[in-house]
Amino acid sequence: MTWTDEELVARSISGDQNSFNELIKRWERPIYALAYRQIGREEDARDVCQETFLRACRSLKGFRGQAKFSSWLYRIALNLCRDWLRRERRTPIVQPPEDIDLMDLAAAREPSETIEDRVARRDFGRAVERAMALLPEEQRTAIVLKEYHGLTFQEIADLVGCPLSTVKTRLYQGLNVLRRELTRSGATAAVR
Amino acid sequence: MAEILCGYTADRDEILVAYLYGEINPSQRAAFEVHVASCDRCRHELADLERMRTRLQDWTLPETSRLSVLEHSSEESPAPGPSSGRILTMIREMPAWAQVAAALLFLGVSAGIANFDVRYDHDGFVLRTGWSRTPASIATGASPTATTAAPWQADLEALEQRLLTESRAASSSAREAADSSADADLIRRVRALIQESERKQQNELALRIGEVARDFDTKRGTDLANIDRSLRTIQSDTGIQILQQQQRLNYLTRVSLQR
Repeated sequence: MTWTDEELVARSISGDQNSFNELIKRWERPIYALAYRQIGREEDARDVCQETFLRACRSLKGFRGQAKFSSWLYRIALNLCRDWLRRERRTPIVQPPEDIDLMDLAAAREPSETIEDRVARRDFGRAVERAMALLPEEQRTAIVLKEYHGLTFQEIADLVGCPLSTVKTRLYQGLNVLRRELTRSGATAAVR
Repeated sequence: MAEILCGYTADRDEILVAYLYGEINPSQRAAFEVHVASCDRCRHELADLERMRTRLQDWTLPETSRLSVLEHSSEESPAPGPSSGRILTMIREMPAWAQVAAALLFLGVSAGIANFDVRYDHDGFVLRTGWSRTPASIATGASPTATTAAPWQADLEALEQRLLTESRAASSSAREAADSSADADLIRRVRALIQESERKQQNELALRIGEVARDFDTKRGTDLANIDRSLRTIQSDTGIQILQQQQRLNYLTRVSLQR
């Protein structure tokens, strides 16, 4: 039987440890992905991911269910990422190519994809990562939540605490900055 | 190049983003589609943004088989085990030494607050608190018959010996069990790491070869183009020289015939 997040939360509060472990397994990848795309460093993203679940565990009894559990978790993670960025006083880091795991694409793609396609795709990915690092934090957050986590405009607005129209404006501005940067950096074929 | 103007009267940027992501109400959609059909700027921008959104998906995460939240890799059994580092385990299960230390601290603080006085002498076992005005004998055992200075010494030594024996027996059996379990776990982890490393190396090699092949093709294409250009230049120069020679020969022939 598959429990909903909210059911698992209730069971965790009543002392079922496995339920919280199930929540971790369900959400650790998305939270890690969010943290990585916000701060750009694997190790720090893992730390943020772990800290997110620790904080969630500690304050689970305070979760009233007004929002979805995932939104609550995202908010914790976003706050931690923001703290990290401010503490470090820097923009997201684009790891140098030698530090990027070259295998993620090669392992994950369909067998029909040629090695040339994989190399090109990886190059595009790097270009996107570099361009994303140039965005202001609020625009990057909006794009990451929309493009990579599929949240609705309203969910993003609730999560970051701004009006719906602001979310759309941030998305529009961010996407146009990305478009310009990708065109400028040579990934021209991608956007033209 | 002059920028194409857009005459859309509503909040164009927001509508465009809403249309791009399909989160737009039907009436706005219909109105915007009518506008887009006649506006080159909006049409081009939408197409560019659509293409770019496809490109955004190329930004994948680095491969992370182990996240630190749960100490098992995704390949392992999802069934939670007592040894896996669970969050709740970390919080709720303190190490034994920490539990003992906490208990001792609690007892010490409690005894200090209550001003306990524990005594075991010729009068037997006496427990008295600071709040008691007179000594309160809680439990009095058989009075020692011997008149030695420490009548409880023999009891204490016997107890100590017994504790030592039991402790040794318990620790040796626990160590054996822990060693065998730890070895098996270690071997499993090492195997997993080796397999992962091999797979990564194979993939990396494939990608490197791909990069080299691509660089080689690019370089070869450039070299061929250079060679072709050089040959054309040489051919052109040679043709000009031949033409000049022919012109000179013609001139000399003409002059010699005139004489």
